[in-house]
Amino acid sequence: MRRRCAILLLAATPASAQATSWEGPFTLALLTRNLAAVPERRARFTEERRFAALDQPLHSRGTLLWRRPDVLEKVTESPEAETLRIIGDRVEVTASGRATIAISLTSQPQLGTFAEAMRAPLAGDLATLVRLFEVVLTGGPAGWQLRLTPRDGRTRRMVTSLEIAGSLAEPREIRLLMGNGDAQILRIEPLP
Amino acid sequence: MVIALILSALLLAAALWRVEIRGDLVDFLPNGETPAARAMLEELREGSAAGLVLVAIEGAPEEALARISRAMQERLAASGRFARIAGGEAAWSEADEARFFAHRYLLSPLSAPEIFEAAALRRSLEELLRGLRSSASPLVTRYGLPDPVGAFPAWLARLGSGNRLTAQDGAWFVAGRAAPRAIILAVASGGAADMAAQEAALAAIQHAFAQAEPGMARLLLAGPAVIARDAAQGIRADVDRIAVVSTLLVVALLAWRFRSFLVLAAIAVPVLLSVALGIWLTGAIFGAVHAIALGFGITMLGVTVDYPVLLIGHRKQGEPAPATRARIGGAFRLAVATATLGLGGLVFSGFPGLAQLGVLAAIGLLVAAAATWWLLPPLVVAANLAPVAAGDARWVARLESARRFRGWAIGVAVLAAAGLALMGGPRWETDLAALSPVPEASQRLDAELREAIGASEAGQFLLIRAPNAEEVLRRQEALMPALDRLVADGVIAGYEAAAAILPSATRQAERRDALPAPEVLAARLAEAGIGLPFRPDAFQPFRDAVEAARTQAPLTPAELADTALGLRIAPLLTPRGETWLGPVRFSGVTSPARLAAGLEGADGVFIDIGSELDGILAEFSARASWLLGGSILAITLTLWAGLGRPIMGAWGRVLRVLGAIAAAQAVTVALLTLAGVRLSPIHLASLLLVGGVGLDYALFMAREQLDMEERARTLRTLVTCNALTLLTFGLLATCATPILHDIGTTIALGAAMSLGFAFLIAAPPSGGRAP
Repeated sequence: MRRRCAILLLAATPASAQATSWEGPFTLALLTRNLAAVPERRARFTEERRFAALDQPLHSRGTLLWRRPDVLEKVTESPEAETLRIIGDRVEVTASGRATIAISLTSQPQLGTFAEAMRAPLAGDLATLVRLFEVVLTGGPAGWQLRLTPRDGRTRRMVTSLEIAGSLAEPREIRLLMGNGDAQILRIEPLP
Repeated sequence: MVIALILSALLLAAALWRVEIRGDLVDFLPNGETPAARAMLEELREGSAAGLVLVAIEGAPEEALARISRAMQERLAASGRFARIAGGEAAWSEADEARFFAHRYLLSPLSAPEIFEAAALRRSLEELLRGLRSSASPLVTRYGLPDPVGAFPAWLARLGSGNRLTAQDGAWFVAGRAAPRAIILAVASGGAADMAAQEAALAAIQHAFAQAEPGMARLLLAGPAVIARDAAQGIRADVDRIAVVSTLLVVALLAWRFRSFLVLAAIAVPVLLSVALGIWLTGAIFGAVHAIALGFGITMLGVTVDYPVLLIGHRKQGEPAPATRARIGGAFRLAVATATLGLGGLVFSGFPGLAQLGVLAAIGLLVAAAATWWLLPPLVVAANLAPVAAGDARWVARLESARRFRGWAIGVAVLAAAGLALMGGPRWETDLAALSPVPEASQRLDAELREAIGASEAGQFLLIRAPNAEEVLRRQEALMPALDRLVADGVIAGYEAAAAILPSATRQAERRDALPAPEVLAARLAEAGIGLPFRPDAFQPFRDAVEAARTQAPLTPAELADTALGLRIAPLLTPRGETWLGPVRFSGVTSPARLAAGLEGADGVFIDIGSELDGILAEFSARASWLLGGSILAITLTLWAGLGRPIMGAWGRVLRVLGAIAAAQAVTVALLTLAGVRLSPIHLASLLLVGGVGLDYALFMAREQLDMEERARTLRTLVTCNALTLLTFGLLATCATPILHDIGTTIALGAAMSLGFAFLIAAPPSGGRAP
């Protein structure tokens, strides 16, 4: 209990004083522990989407926010403004000029899997990660790749796999491969 | 004597065993005067939900609940007692979705020639592109590319979300609950009227639960069948408890008064016989007895204990039975006749439940009187039963001197009547729930589970009746523009109708025939896509779907039945005899009056359950006055005929007797009203019983030219009778069940008043001094 408090205290210190430690063998547990040690992240992103139905990719850009324990926010600025926010069990989508759509993750298990694929690594939630996905980790602390494959067959038909590549405690690229061959690539530029 | 007692007890047990008990409040209600009221009651009585049992399992972790639920579903489905068991299939399976998706251009309200024009298609494609850029892009590729016009989501929006269930591990769970609760829907085969089948179905559910190794999990049941059972059990339990306690008290009092077991046995015989024959004949006449009528009737017939007490109490030691009968005969016969008339009047109350009660009471009273008159004397004489020695009777004179306050008594009664008139008469109960014999906890659980499965009882609906399902759907379609306007105007938040889920075959065929030919659609799509990044073959699935739809047969209600929507549409489109019913249910009604006005001229019956029930009660309270008037007239005529013959100046006696009863009733009603009680049909029946009891007292008091000893016997006997009534009904007043409590207070209060006023007002002015 006391140790837990100590970790919480450490965790509350600013991001600049991150309590990361990369000693020991490079395992999933080590990576998620280090990812979890970051209480808040801000980043810019560019996204590329490739659809079988389109003869050219679609590009967009915006900002990302992660805040412990369970807030993930993706604000697309151009070409169409949209805010996607995952808080706890809720997903909220606000597109410009439309009413916010709110969905409960537990009522939509497939959407839940999708949301956890991005959130669980950031939260260092190893249990959820392993429960929902087959996880393969390759590389080392300076450059790692995390490959997630949904365990649930129905979800897997929608999302074939999700690959996160990163360096130390910062994810730099998320690659989403859809069941129909479509793909989304999110490139992340951390902000100080 | 003992043999007679045992025989009558066996008869009662047999009657209770055989009789079928109904608990649904609807069965207690009249058939309704207006078409709307009749339609509503029919819907409540036989509605498709009648055989529905809602099964909830809770109190264990989700995995355990899912396991129990699956085991129960399997066992119940195999039992053959259920028309339907549902509790695990995904609320919306992929096969269902594929099927509806394939039919989207026939089902969707959007489907019209305009949306396939090039300009409209252009807007759809631009919207689609925006969708691909958004977070919803996986959904857009899946549903939007094969359906860029958005026909499917438009149809889905019409469906709304009917329930709060999520499927998990082959079990349904109520979403948004902290403690997990699994739900199974069971529809007993055999329909609402088959009580035995429903009982067996409930037993099967309980057995299946026990077999599923439930551990610490709890089973909760709700639904009409359960409500009926709970009501019957509740009434039975209350009546049993009261019967045991009051029997003990009555026996103790009678034992003290008569000091003989044989007297007790003799008194019990007519009472048991009257209850047994009353229940048996009422069951035979009506086919079943309502729990309220049964519970009240049995308690009510407890007062028949007065008859044997009157006979034995008036017997002198060693007197032959005919002599006793001769002395009290006139008053006795009149008391029986008038009480039977008064309670029998309930038959005309218009409430089937009260009519049963009237028949039960009338038969019971007559049986008890007949048994007392013919069966009891030989027993009494054989055992030489009589009250213990009357002793010194001088106290009677001292007591009778209290009659100098007669004027005061009349004054009090007049004051009570005037006060009642000033208060605007007694207040009538307007909330039917006050009558319900169903425990409040059962009612709450029922409402909770119904809400979870999306079958909550609508307050207002429009009932559409037609010769066949297709015609019902067509009439609903004709109405839907008006309904959509009501939604837009904020009069209602929404409505549920079969036609919103499944359009009529006619409408589906119209849409099908208006779909564009493949080459026309291809050309328009090409025109719409100019300058947009879609590949030429991106909309092949869309073009294929439209082409396929051009030869589709319309979906029918029967095809829908075995999909996830079957459960939704079943209560919205049901066969009833030769016709089909399609209720349109409204939710979030802001103004029932504006809703009714908006439906003016609609091809159906608009029903507002609240106001229809109010109407039924209003009808009753209007009728109650006539009923009371009629009863009073009949009783007066009987009294005049009975009392008039032997002595001149009979009007004086009739007036004294009636005056005593009127005074007792006026003061009782005034006191109840003063205490804030609203009179329900149950109170009315209680007051009629009080009238019958009061008549006993008044008639015996009003006998003239009696010697001191006989007057002492009468007083002692009547006080015994009164004490018995106060004991039983006073106990009833302590019951938590509202109707039993009402009966208890009304009758205990009324009986006490009746004795007082009978003593003061009904007795002859001379004090009946011996000549």
